[in-house]
Amino acid sequence: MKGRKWIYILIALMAGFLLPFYVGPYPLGIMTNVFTYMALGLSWDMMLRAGQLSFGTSGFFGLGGYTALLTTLYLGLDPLLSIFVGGIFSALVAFVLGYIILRLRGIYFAITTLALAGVFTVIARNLHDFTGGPEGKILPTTIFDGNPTYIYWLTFSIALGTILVSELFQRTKIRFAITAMRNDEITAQSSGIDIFKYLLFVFVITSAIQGIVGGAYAQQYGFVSPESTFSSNFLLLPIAMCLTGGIYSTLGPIIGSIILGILSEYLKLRFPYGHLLIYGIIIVVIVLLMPRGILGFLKSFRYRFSKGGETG
Amino acid sequence: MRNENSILEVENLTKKFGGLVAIDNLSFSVQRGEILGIIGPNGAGKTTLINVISGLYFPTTGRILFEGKDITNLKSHQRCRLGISRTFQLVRPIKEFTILENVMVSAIFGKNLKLTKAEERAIEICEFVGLKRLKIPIDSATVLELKKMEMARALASDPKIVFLDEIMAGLSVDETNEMIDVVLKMNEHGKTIVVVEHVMSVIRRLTHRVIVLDRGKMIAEGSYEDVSHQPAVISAYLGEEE
Ligand SMILES: Nc1ncnc2c1ncn2[C@@H]1O[C@H](COP(=O)(O)OP(=O)(O)O)[C@@H](O)[C@H]1O
Ligand SMILES: [Mg+2]
Repeated sequence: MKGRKWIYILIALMAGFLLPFYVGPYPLGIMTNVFTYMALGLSWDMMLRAGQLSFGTSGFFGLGGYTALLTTLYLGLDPLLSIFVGGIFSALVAFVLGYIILRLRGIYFAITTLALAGVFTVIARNLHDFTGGPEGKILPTTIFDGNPTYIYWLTFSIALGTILVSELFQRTKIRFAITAMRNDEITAQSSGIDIFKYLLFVFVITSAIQGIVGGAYAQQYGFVSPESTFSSNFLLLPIAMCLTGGIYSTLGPIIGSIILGILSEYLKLRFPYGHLLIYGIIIVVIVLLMPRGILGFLKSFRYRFSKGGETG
Repeated sequence: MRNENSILEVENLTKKFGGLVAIDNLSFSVQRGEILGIIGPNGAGKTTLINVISGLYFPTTGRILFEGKDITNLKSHQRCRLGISRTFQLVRPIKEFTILENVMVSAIFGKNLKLTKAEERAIEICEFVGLKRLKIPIDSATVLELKKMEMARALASDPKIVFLDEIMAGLSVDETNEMIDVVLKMNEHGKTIVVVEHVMSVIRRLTHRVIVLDRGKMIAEGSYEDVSHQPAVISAYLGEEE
């Protein structure tokens, strides 16, 4: 059983890596998008695993995007390197802000992260000389000269890296800390867990991922603007994907982002007008019918069958 | 004041909740290796005292010294790592974890062990407190198992002093006897123990010394025999029964 799991993983890796040799630029673009949202979804879920609902995803995404683009524009930084600088900058901002806001809990934390993302947008819009104001900034070239295969591999690698981090969260002592904190902070701290330290750690790591994804996105289009780079799509779609696939896991956000990412493209082709409405309805129906996501649904399904007659 | 043999000293401790004084200028010390009983009617402040000593609440005034070191401003997790642990009167398991994983948490973070070592340690401790079904989910555990899990978790961080908050409540006579044996065994293994208990017969069988609290104040101290005959203690308990 263990061995077979590794074979599946290997096949998925090979398929992901070799995809550009088998499909054209259009499907490749779709998958590039899927991996972008997959990494965002996983990062949002990791914070949720620590017990905190963050609405800051698009904020740190945009921060990374602006940082990457502007460092290339003004400092001539290599685009690939600038993406990591975007991640580092998002992480630094998360560290400083986290020190203050991670004392908040639940809805207070959630609303504050949302407000911060709003503040980032306002700053980007108002620093005209530096950020280009509402029009944003454009680079003369895009990363890899727009080569879709390389861009695909870039986002594929970022998603892979994020999956790796997510699995570290699931397999090391981090899992014990964040699961305990999420369930009962009083028990957690009485058992020796430094809750604040772990929250800060998770907030910084997930913000770094969001910054990297944002950096890659900005370099991919060679463009940033307040409306597009801080778009609420980068907050809401990852959440929808996690809810669809199943929260508190690595596999859930992966499944959710693949299904919803491909579905949204299909709907766009099929129903050029009104695809967003249908998309929204489908998400609502899935979440209502399967409150624990597709993964949770499949698990309970399998459980029921493996138990056979016992539960009927 | 400072006694070489005392492991914990509480000095002029007061804890107020708004206008309510839950702990009222309380001073006492716990001797290394003893089993100290804390008794008193409901609402006397016993649980609050444990919460303040374990760092869940900060005192309004007063100091707490552990092994001579002022820990009044340390956080809960720091006190746990220093060697102070406690159980919860209303059990607080991590519901997504098995019994064993619950105990592992405190071995990992309270004693700073790697996962595999923590698991070995958690298994040993579960055995020590008499837990047999280690891999069961929390919602299929019995009351006795949950109480034992609380004890095992408190022990897994390798504490020097353990506070037990009404661990016998809700147990049958046989189960209570079993728990008493576990507590005595813990003490034989060198743990200093503070038992908060409502049942007098348990206190009589377990403790070397007793402190009686009433409305946050100490109203008596001494051996069980001394204390149980004092008029103030009797009236505090009788008053409750009315
Ligand atoms: N968190 C709290 N907020 C407000 N009042 C509290 C709190 N915890 C305890 N109290 C009050 O403090 C008093 C002592 O409670 P407690 O320590 O639980 O007593 P005991 O454990 O001896 O039964 C009670 O009057 C209780 O209502
Ligand atoms: Mg109590």
